[in-house]
Amino acid sequence: MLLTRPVRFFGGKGGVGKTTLAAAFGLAQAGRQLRTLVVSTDPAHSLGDVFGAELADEPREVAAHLWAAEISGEQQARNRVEEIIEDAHAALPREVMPAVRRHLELATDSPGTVESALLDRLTQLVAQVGDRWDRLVVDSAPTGHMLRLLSLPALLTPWIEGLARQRERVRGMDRMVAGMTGRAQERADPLLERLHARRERLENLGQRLRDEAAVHLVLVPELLPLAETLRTVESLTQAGMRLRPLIVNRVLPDDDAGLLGKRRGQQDEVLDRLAAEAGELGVLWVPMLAGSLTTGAELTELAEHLAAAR
Amino acid sequence: MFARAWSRLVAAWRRVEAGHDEVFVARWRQGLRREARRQEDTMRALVMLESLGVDNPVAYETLELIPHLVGELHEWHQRMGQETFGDPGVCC
Amino acid sequence: MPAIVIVLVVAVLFFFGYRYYSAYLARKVYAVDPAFVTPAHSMQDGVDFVPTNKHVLFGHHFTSIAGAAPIVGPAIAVFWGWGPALLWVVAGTIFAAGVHDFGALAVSVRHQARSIGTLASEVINRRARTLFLLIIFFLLTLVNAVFAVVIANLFVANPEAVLPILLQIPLAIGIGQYIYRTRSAALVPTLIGVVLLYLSIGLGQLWPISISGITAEDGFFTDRNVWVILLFLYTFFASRIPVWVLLQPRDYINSHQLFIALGVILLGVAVGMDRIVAPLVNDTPEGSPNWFPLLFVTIACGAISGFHSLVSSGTTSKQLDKETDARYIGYFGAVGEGSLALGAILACTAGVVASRADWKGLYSDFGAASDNATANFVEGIGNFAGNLGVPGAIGATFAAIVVISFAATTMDTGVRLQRYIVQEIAEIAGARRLSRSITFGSLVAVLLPLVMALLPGGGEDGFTFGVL
Repeated sequence: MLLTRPVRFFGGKGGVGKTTLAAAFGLAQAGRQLRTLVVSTDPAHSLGDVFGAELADEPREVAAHLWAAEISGEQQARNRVEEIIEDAHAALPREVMPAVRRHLELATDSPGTVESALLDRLTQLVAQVGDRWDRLVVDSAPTGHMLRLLSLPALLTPWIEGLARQRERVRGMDRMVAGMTGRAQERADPLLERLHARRERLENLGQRLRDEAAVHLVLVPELLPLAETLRTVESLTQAGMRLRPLIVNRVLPDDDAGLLGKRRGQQDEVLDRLAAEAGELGVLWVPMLAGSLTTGAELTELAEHLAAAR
Repeated sequence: MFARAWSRLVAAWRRVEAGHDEVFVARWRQGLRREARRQEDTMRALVMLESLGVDNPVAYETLELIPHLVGELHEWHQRMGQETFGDPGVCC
Repeated sequence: MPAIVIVLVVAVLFFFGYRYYSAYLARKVYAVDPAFVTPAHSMQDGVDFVPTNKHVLFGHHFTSIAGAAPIVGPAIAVFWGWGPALLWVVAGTIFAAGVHDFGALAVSVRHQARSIGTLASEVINRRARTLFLLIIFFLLTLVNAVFAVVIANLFVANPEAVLPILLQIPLAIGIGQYIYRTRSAALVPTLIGVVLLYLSIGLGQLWPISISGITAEDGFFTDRNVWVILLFLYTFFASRIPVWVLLQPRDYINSHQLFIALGVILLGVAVGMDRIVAPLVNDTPEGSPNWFPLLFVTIACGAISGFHSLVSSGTTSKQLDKETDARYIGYFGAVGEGSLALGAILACTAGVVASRADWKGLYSDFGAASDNATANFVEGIGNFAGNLGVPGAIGATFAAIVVISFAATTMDTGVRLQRYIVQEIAEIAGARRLSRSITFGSLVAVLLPLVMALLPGGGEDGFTFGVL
């Protein structure tokens, strides 16, 4: 089977080893001479620790064919506000600028803004896939967060459409008044253009995510995460996202007679149920490894286990 | 001579037209303006929800519209029936 | 007595009223101050608050307050003879309507041009505003019911007017679209539109539209009742389309018709030297309602109308350039309305028939008077137009068109206004469902007057509009 979907999300509850698996997956892809970018969206970044490098918003090369970045919604929102103020300086009278700045700050404090901004930054990176990158591996924040992120385009598009319609209404009335007063005024409306651009961007992203992205859900073989993972599978399928086999991390060896063997017995129960419930989706086991998983060799070993995940 | 009388006649007619517009069309136009402004107020309210204390899920997506809508903010909130507006420093 | 004499005497009285009484009001009662900075200046916004030349503003004000109401009332009230009706119109205009319209304007201007409802809530208390809303609610219900009946009666009596009225809808929409899209002055296309409207009278004569084919002779589904139902159905939908599509262009055409109709009345009376054939005081038949107090509610618009305060405080006060202009605009607006009522009195006492006996036949009892009131007015105007050389049938259709287009616009506006009132009252009463749905509001605004117009009532003589 060929790897057809170039954008991969690694999701799951906190502490299940998403970041490590994403890094290992990225390393494996890079090993196949594919230009791969691994990004972390989790506000509590740990990707840098895995690669043993300082990471920032801009991708940085961490190995041959492998780049990594840690992106943040707050940072993106700040950048955007600066950009807008820069643009506004050229177009608006100086005396309204303080009010503009205060309003922008107020708006960035709105709940949801951080996620929207994160998605915006992700959009920029997704747009580079095929051009600058062959593979984009996203180490997502914990499940609920990722779900929201992936459903945002579908959520926001109608809202933006509503705004655009309202703006069209304003324009229509203005045109009528203009017709009656004899003011010729048929220039494009900057607001409407921006709204349309925004809507297109969101729609494109939604489409690309459905067509080119796949999600790897990671869990550990315990009873509690099981139900939650299955719920996430359902939500993602509903949102039109493609899923890859569930990755069960830290499966204990079954040839140990001591404590580990006993625990493995408990894990087997979960694994059986998981295999039954996952059905066609399939399950991939990744054994518990001994090391701290921060060295290249250890990641490579992990990547070998992931080979089947492709 | 004839040309001059004609141009006078035209000028007089233009004055009649202008007067007619002022008495009859202006009232109508005013109604349209009011409607246009109402629509624009709605638009502004939707984009600036958070300044009215309402959560705005698309705040980030519409950030770049704000500079274009801040201009007439003062008149707007007065029309909305609020003498003062927003946090200190936002407007009044 | 020739009607023109009455016109001249009333004109002189109105002049004295304006010259002396309104000057007294301005000085002593309202104490208008030429130095006062009006809201049009202090709150100027280019939309609502615009300082406007007083003659122009008078045009706006007058065309807003004038409608079918000052026609319908006097046309019924002449039942008691032309004397009482005329006396009430003249005295009412000079001592009541002028005072009220001028006063409402002056009060609103002093209070940031706030509307009279808001003022009631601020100056008195919140309950005053609720009461005010309720009064408007009942008033609008009555107005919408009455005007539906008026239009239905006119459609039944003048089937020739139906087609022109139907054609007026696309014509108004067309004029609207033309004016929205072309930047030249509106006078020429408007004149063409008005001429086209009156040319369609010819088509109306060719193809009169009567619905008696689909209605029953008697019982519930009479011609009139079916028209009433159709009218409310139309109004329900018409009041939901944006105002600029139909309401505003038609209102615009109406404002021209207003001046044309006033001109026809004055010129027709002057040229024809019609004599008033009705008695000064009619010896009404046994069992008729007494003139007191009914005369004073029969003629409201034209003698005094609280509705004018809504216009005065709603839009006019926001455009007043100088406080002293309030006298000219407010008082003269009332005088204009009084003149329209005078025209209606003359049409129904001098224009409609040529002999006392014929007049007695038309106004044989109060039921007949109220049933045929607008038909009589229409006939009278037709004859005034006849004095100017217009064939009688065409003149009558012209008058029917004027009254119907005024009444239709009033119904459209009335239902729009009513649904806001319904929503506001529902809000105060805590009926959330009703207060948030435009459709519910519209339904209440339409159904209530519809039921009122259809249900039999009015006592054994069928006072007012027959079954109303």
